[in-house]
This record gives sequence, structure tokens and C-alpha cells, in this order.
Amino acid sequence: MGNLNERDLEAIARRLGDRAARSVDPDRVAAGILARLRSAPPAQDRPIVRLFFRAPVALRVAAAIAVLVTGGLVTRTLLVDPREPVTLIAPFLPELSADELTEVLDSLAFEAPLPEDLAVGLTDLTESQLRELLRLMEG
Amino acid sequence: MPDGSVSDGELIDRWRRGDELAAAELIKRHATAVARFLGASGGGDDVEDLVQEAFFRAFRSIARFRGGSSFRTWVMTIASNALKDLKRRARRGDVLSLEDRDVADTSADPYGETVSRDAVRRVEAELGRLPRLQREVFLLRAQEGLEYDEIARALGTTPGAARVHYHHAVQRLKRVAEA
Repeated sequence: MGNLNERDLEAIARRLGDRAARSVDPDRVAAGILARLRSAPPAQDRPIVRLFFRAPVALRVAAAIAVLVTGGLVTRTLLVDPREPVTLIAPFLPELSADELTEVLDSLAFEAPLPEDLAVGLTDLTESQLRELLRLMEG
Repeated sequence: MPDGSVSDGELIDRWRRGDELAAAELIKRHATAVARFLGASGGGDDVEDLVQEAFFRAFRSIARFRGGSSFRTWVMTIASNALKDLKRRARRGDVLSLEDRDVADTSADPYGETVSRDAVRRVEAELGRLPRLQREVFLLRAQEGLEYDEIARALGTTPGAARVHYHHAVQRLKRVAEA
């Protein structure tokens, strides 16, 4: 097979998505969503801090997992190739943007068992909330 | 019933005032594109459920939509969150692991005549493994044809960073496709 260029890859990506798109019936999806919206209570604009207090155990567990994962990764990096420089994130926290903070949190495989009905992801948090979460996870 | 001449912004305003038909119209306009995005992101057989979840979350938190990007792009970023949540639950064993599923059958894919089926499968699998920002930037550009400016606004990054993410995604996909 010859070398692929950008257009080839983009064409593949479109075709992969087309298959899924064909399997979705917009009318059925709309009916399902409207039924859920009718039956679900209206969204409450709660500050994320209040959510934390609703699930303190979950956050502590998440912080412990994050510390373990981060520690494991650092140790693994040192063992696999001690010549490679290891960058710790803590000193750079104040310099990170919201996007970069989200990426860092994502990379820590954050797995808090939050309530199922919680419609909040990392990208919903403000920059200060992300910083607070990362500080919590660092213990 | 709203028609195609009504803007997304107006439909959103109507939904905020409780007009369900406006919400239905928004879903019908954008569900296919969101499904396409999720399908290429590794949504597997869960695409329709994920599309529902994404729009449900979007309508429940519509107050947070500031119009920095298009409504469609905003829903796609929410869909990506929903997919990530699903994968997280799969890792915990709550649902069937997405990684355990076979990649989709491409035997009827005419593109396979010029690009090997195996390469397509490798690209599909690798897309699911790309870092999230790389995958989102690549798909928003490949599928939606968005400019880096809008991609950056939607994903909360800069156009320059979006360009870098796209470049890394392309390089990585090329590597696995040509392996």
C-alpha cells in the first residue's frame, strides 16, 4: 500500500463516522431525549464545591487513586529509562491554562464514583475549580 | 414546526422558553453529525445512546452555552465527555468494554479498494486511542471542516495549539496505517 496523506486519513475518518451516522434515527433520538427531559428534574446550577461536599468519600478515593497512579507513573518512568528527565506537575500548576489543567486531570485517569445523574465533566469546570480539584488530588 | 430558515440561536432561545419543538428541531439538525463524530471516536454500538446522552446534557445545561462555538460543535464536545464516561464505566466493569469489541466491518467499504481494509481498521482503532484533544481536533477538522479558530474556541485552547494537536494526530495515524 502506498503512503497515506492527510486527505486519505480524513476520508477514512469521515467514512468511519458515516457508518455510525446511518445507524442513528434522528426522530427516534429526538423522541427519546424529549421524554427524558420531561421526566427528569430541571438542571440545578449548583456550585461544584457543593457537589464535592455531597460526595466527600468519592473525592478522597479519587485523590488516593490519583496519587497512586501518578506515583506509579513516575516510578515506572524512572525504572524504564532513568536517563529521561521526569517533570513534576506541581511547580507548574499556577502557569497552566484551564485547557492544560483539564488535560492533566484527564491524564491522571480520574475515576471518582460520582452520582450517575451528575451531568458535569472536567470541561464543565472553571479554571479555579480545576485548580482546586488538582490540589485535592495531590493531597 | 420550525423550518431550516430558523437559526440555531433562535431555536435555543425558544427551548429556553420551554418550546419542545425547537429542541426536537435542533436534535434533528445535528444528531447525524454528532453520531458521525462519535462513530469515528470509538463509540461502537453505543452511538445512539451517546447521542441521546449528549443532547440531554446539552439541553439541561443550555444556560452554559455562550455561543463561542456553534451549537453543533458544543454538543460534540459534550458527546466526547459522555463517551469518556462510558469508557470509564467500561473499565470499571459496569458495562461491556468498548475495547473488547471488534472494529467495524469495512468489507462493503468502497474506499477499501484504494486503502487496505487492514489500514482502515488500524486507523479506526488508533483514533480511539489518541489523546482526547488530538482526536477531537482531528475529527472536527476532518468531518466538519472547521477552521482552527472555531475548533480552538470549542475546545478551550488556542488556534496554534489546535494546529499542533491536528499535526500530531495525523502523524500518529499515518504511522499506524503504514505499519
